[in-house]
Amino acid sequence: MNKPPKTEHFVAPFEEGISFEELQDAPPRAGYKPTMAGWVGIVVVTFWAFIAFAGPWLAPYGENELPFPDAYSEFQVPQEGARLGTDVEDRDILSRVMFGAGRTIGISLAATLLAYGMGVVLGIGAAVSSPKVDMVMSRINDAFLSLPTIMLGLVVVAAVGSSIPVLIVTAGFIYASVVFRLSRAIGMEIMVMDFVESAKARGEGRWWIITREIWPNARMPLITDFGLRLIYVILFISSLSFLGLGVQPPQADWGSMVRENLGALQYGASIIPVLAPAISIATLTVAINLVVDDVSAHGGGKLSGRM
Amino acid sequence: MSYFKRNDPTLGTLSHSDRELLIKMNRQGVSRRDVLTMLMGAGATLAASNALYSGVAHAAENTPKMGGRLIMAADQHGPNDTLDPALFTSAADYFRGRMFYGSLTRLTDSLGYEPELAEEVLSNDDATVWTFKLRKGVEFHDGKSFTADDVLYTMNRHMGADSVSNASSLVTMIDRWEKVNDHEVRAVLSSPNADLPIALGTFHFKIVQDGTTDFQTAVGTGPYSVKEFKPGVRAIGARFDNYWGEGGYLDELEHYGIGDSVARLNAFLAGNVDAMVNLPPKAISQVEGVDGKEIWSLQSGAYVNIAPRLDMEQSSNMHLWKAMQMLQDRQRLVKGVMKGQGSLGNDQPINAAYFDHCADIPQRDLDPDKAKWHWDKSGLGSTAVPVTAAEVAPGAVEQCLFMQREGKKIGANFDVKKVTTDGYWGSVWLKDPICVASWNMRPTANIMMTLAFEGNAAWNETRWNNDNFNQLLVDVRGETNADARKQKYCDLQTMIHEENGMSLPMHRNYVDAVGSHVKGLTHVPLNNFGGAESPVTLWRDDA
Amino acid sequence: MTSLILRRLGIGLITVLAVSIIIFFGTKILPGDAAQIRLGQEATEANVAALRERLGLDQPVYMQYLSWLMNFASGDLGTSLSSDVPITNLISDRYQNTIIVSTLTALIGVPISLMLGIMAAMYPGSVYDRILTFISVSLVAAPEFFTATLLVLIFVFALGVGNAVVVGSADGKGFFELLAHFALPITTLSFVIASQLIRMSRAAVLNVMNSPYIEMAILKGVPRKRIIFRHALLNAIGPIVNVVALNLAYLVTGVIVVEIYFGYPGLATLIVQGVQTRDFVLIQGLGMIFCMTYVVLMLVADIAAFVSNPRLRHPK
Repeated sequence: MNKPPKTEHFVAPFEEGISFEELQDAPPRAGYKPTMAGWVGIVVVTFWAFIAFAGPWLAPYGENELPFPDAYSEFQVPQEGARLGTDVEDRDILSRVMFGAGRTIGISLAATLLAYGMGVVLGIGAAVSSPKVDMVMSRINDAFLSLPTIMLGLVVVAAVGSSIPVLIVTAGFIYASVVFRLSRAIGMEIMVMDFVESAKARGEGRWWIITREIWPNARMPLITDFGLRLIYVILFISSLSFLGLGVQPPQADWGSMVRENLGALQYGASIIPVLAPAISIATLTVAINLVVDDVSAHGGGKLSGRM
Repeated sequence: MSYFKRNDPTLGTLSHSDRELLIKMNRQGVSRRDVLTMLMGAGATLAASNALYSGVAHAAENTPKMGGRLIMAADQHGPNDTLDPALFTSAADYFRGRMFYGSLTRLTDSLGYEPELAEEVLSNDDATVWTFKLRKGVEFHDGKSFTADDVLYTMNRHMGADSVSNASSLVTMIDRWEKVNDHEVRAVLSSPNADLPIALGTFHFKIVQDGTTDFQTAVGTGPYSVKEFKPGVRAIGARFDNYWGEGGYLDELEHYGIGDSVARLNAFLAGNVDAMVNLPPKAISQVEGVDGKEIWSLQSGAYVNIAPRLDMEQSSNMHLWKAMQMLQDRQRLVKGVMKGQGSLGNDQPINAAYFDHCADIPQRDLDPDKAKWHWDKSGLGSTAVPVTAAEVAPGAVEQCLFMQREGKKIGANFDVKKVTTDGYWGSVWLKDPICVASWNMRPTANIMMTLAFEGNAAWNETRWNNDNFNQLLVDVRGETNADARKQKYCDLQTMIHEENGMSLPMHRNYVDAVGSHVKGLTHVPLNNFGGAESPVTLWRDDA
Repeated sequence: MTSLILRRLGIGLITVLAVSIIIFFGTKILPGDAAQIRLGQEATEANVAALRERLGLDQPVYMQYLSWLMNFASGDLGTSLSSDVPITNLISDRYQNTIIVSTLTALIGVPISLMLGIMAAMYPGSVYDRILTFISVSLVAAPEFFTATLLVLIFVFALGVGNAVVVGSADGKGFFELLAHFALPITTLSFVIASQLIRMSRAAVLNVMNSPYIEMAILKGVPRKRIIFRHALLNAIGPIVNVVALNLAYLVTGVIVVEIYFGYPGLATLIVQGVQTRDFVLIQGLGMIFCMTYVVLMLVADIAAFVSNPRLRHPK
C-alpha cells in the first residue's frame, strides 16, 4: 500500500481510508527479531521439517524392516545396527521415528490447516453476519461441538475405515468447530468495539471491516491458538491410535509408536522405544510454541514488551 | 475325599486317620526327615516313605482352604455382558456362567466329561437316545429344588428356528427332549451323536430355572450366588452355602474387565487384582521373574488363520493361496509374537492338543523360493491383493503383516487393511475375499471340523466343499476300530492341509497370569482362566 | 437479560433435537447392527434374524427414531439393545464415577491452573513465566495414556502409593476417601486440562493488557497487581470461562482414554461401547445427556461473557 503524498494540512487517517501505522510520519514498526528462545524454536522446527521431508531417504532401514531377522527379541538396547534399539516388533526405532516424522507432521499440519481454514472463515463470517445467519451457523456448530471427539472419530472410522485422508478430514472437521467458536468469539469482541462501530457508522463495507479491523486484531490470538491446536490434533490422532483407530500398522506415526511400545516401560530391556517418539512429539510442540510465543510477543504488538 | 484320589493315588490308599495325621504334621512344619523317620519306623520302605511325603506335601498344598476373596480381571466387558447362558459370547460371560450356574456334565482337562447335575449318562447302542439321570437334593440359589422341568425348559431354549441361542448349532440333531420323571430326562436324536454329553458340558448349556425370562440376575445351582451384577462394571458372587458339591471355597469372587492390556498388567503387578486374562506374551518373562506371580498357560488348539474365499475371483487362484501358505512366517509368530506360548500351525485345525491329532503330515514352513514359484504361476504380478485384518486375537494382524513383509521380497503386493474389531464378525468375516479369523478350541476334532470345514457349514470360511471329506466326517462318528479311526482322521486332516486354501500359521495357548496365592486352577484348554471352569475350585492360600 | 437467557435456552433445546437426529441417522450408516454384534462370531443367520425382531430392528428407520423420540419425551430412555438392561440403569451405574472424577478435577485443577496462568501474565517474559510456559507446553505434548503410564510408574511402582487401576466401587465414600480412590485419574486429568487453562488464562489476560485503558492505568501509575485484578481480569473472563466450560464438557464426555486406562467405567466408556455394539438406544440416550451437559455449560459461559462485557448484551 503506497503512502499518500505529503500534504500541507493535517489529514485525519480515516478520511483517506488508511490506518495510523501507514501514515508518513508514523513511528517505524519493529520488524520481527527473534529472541534466544525464538531461535531455539525456529531451529528445532526447521530440523523436524527437514526430517519430515528427507526422513525416508536418510533412514538406515525401511519402516517395517527387521535389523536382526534371526533374533526374536523386541525392545533391544541401542547397539551396532540399531542405533536406538528395536521396538515391540523388532523393528529399528531410529528409522521409524524418521518415517513417522513425515506422517505425524504431515497429517497434523494438514488437518490443522483445514480446521483453521474452515473455522476462521466461518467464524469471522458468522461474527459479521446478520444475527439470523449467525444463529444458524452457531447452532450447527454447537451440535458438532457437543459430541465427544473420540466418539465422532470412532463412528467415522467404523464407517469408512481408517486411512490418512480420512484422519485428516475427520480431525480437520472436528477441530474446525472449536476454531469456529473461538474466532467467532474473538470476532464478536472486536465487532462491538468503538472503532468498528465508527467504521460502520462511516459506511464501511463488511469486507473492509474484516480485513482492516478484525483481522489485524484477531490474528495474534488466532496464531497463538494455531500452535496449540496443532498439538491437540497430534494428540487426538494418537488417542485414536490408543483405541486402535489411528494410523494403521505397519505404518509409523509417533502417536501410535508411543501406544504400541507402551509396554517397554514395564517390561522392556530398554525404555527408548516409548521415549523416542514421545520426546519427538514433545520437542516439536515445545518448539512450535516457542516460535509462536516469540512472534506474538515481539512481532509488532503495541504493549507486548512493555510491562 | 475324592480330592485326594484325584491328585495323588498313593495317598488315596492310606487310611483316613493316617492321612489326616500326615497332613497335620506337614502343616505344623514337621520336617521331611522327621516324617520319613516316623514312616520308616512304622515299617514303610524309604521309597514308599518318600512318595508318601511328597504326596502329603502336595495334598496339603492342594487342600482347599475356605474363605477369602479373589478379584479376577477379564478383558472384554461392556453393556452386552449377559447372564443368559444362551446368549453368552465372551470368555467373561463363560466365567460368570460357571460362577452362578451348573450344567448336566462338566468337561475335564483332557476334554472328556464328568457327571455334574446329571448323575448318570446313558445312551442306546447307536447313540440316538440319551438318558440323563438327574442328581437329587440340588437347590437353586432361591431354595427351589432342581428337577427335570428346569432341564427341559433350558434345553428347549436352544432348539427350534426361533431360538436366539448361540449354541443351537451344536444340538441340531436333537429331535426332542422328554421328561421321564422328576429326576430323569431323555434326549431323542434324529441322527447319531456319540459326543452329545461333551457338547452339553460346554458353556451355553447352563441350567436355568424353569420359566426364567428376566436375566438381570442369575438364579442357578452354581457355587456362588449373585451379590452384584452390573453389565460392563463388575460381577460379585457370594458363596452359596447350600451348594450341592465340592467347590465354592471363597467368601466372595469378584470379576470385572480391564480392556486395556497395559492397564490390566499394571493392575495385576500392583496387586490390585489377583488374576488376569491374556497376559501379553512379551510380558511373560517379566511376570515369571516376579516373586508371587505365575503364568497360567493352557496348551490349546485355538488358532488364527487367513481364509481366502474359493468362490471369488482373485482369491480362488490356487497359486495365490499356496504362495500365501509359503509366505507364512510361522516361527516368528510362535517365538516372536507368542514367545513360545503356542505351536506351529500346519494349515489344518487339529493340532496336538486334540485327541485325534495326526502327526504324519509334513510341517510347512516359510519358503520364499516356493512362494515365488507359485506367485509367478499365479499371474498376479504386482496386482494388489487386499487382505482384511482386525485384532481379534493375538497374532491375527501380525500374521498378515509378516506375510506382507515376506511377500514384498518376492514381488507380491499384499494390501493389508486393518479394521476395528467391533462389527468384524458381522460385516467382514465370511464376506470379504481374504480375511482373518480366530477360533477357540472345540472339545473334539469332529465338532471342530463339522463347524468350520464341512461343505455346507455356516462357518465354512473358504467355501471349500469336498464330498469325500463331508462323507468321511459323518462316517467316522460311528467308527469303533481304533486304527481305522486314526487313519480316517489323518485323511481328513490331510485333505484340509492340501485343499482347503486357508493359511493357519499358529496355534496359541491361553496365557493368563495369577498370583501364587491363587490355587485350584483348572486346565480345560477351551478358553481363558482354565476353560472358564475355575470358579468352582478356586481358593486362596493365604486366607 | 432474562429474555436473552430464555432465548438461549430455547436455542439449546433446538440444538439438542438436531443432535438427536444427527446421531441417530449418523450411526445407522455404520456397518453391522446390534443383533449381529451381540451374538458374535458364533451366530447363524436365523439366530440373528430372531434377535433382530425381538429388538425391533426390523422396523423402518424413521419409525425407530420416532418411537424413540416419543419415549424420550416422556422420560423413558429405553432399553439397551445389547443387554436388555434399561438405559437408566446402565447410566446410573456409571455416572457417579464420571461426576465424581470431573468435579474433583475441576475443584482442584481449575483454580490452580487459572492462578498459575494469571500469575504468569503478571510477569510476562520473566523466568517464572518462561518456566511455567515450558512446563505447561510439555505437559500438553504428552498423550494422556503416556502421562497416565508415567504417573502409575512413579507413584504405584516406584513410590508404592496409590493403585494402578481403580479398585472396587465408590459407594459411600467421603470426600477425602474419594480423592484417594480416584487419585491417579484425577492427577492425570488435572495435568491434561492444566496446560490449556494456564495458557489460555495467560493469553487472555495479556491480550486485555494491550488495551488503551490499561495503558492509561499504567501511565497513571496504578500498581500492576491492582490493574490485573481490578481491571484486566474482568474483561478476560469471557474467553477464560469459555475455555473452562469446554474443558468441563471434555471431563464429562471425552475422558475415555483415562477411563479405560484406570479401569473404571464411566460415561465416556459407555458411549464408545455403545458405538462398538451399534446400540442405538444407548448412543441416543447418552448423546442427549452429553448434548444437554454441553448446552448448559455453554450457557454459563455465555452468561459470564455477557456479564463481563455489557456491549455483548445488545445484539447488533
